Amino acid sequence: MKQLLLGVALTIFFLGFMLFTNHSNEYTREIEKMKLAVDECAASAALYYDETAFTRGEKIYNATEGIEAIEYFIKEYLHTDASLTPNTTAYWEEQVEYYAYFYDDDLKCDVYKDGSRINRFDFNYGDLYTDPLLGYIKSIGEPIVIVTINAGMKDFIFNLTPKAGIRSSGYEYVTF
Amino acid sequence: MLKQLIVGVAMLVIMMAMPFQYALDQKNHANITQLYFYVNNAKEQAKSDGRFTDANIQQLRVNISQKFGVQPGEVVIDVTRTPKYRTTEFDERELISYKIAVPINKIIASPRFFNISDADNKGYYIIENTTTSEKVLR
Repeated sequence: MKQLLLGVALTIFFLGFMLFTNHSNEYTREIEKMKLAVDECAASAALYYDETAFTRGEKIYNATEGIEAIEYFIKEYLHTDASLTPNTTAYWEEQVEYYAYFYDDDLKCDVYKDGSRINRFDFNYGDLYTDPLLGYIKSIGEPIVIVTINAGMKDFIFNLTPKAGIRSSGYEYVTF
Repeated sequence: MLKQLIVGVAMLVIMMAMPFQYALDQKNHANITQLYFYVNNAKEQAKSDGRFTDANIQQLRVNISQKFGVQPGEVVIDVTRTPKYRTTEFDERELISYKIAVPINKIIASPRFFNISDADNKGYYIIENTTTSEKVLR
């Protein structure tokens, strides 16, 4: 009887341990997939710019097309509908929100949140960018598109502290 | 005494499945993480080339088959091979698509113990996405 009870207790412990590691592994994969998603959003948004300004040597991003690309890739990579609400196949459960900063060569920066422009400000090269969600700081030295995606919190097994799904990426044109 | 021995051995056999399963789960997780790395590298190359070139596909196939220990022909690679170009406006028709399916030949570490056949103990891990092309139409 003693061996049986000890065996059952150890089996339950191992099962719990494996459930936790599987849950943890899945979160690790999904947060890395999210990094790939936000990389793609920033890289694709930076493809669209004003060609007339480009002939003058200035990089002025076309934010309208950039936002369209960002939302397309959020939908595709994170499995959301048009309103960025996760569908049944998505890992994340909360509505996705995102910030997009378009730093242009005319020294103006357009800030978008969930597709709507919420701010436009002047800047100089050398100014610091502070991420609105992650809080990291970056020096702006070239035209750059920075995208930060927040997919909300994900409940963890055994009522452990929920984990946040926030990743950020920037794509800039470097002058040599 | 004999009864205790029998129960003890039986519990040991049942519990041995657990560490084996843990080890297999970690191996599959590491392989899948590496798969994303390989696919992302191939995607970045395709972005630059405007399509998945034969060399890019072959390199991806070799990398995956070596990592997963499967035959190169078992890796399913369904990707855009015709050139796509950078556009001035976002256009879904000019996106490069890719679908990579890799066989996972062992999901449960001790299938016989749980009466699971080899056919039921395998599956495919699939990565399917699109990307924009950076290739300029000259």
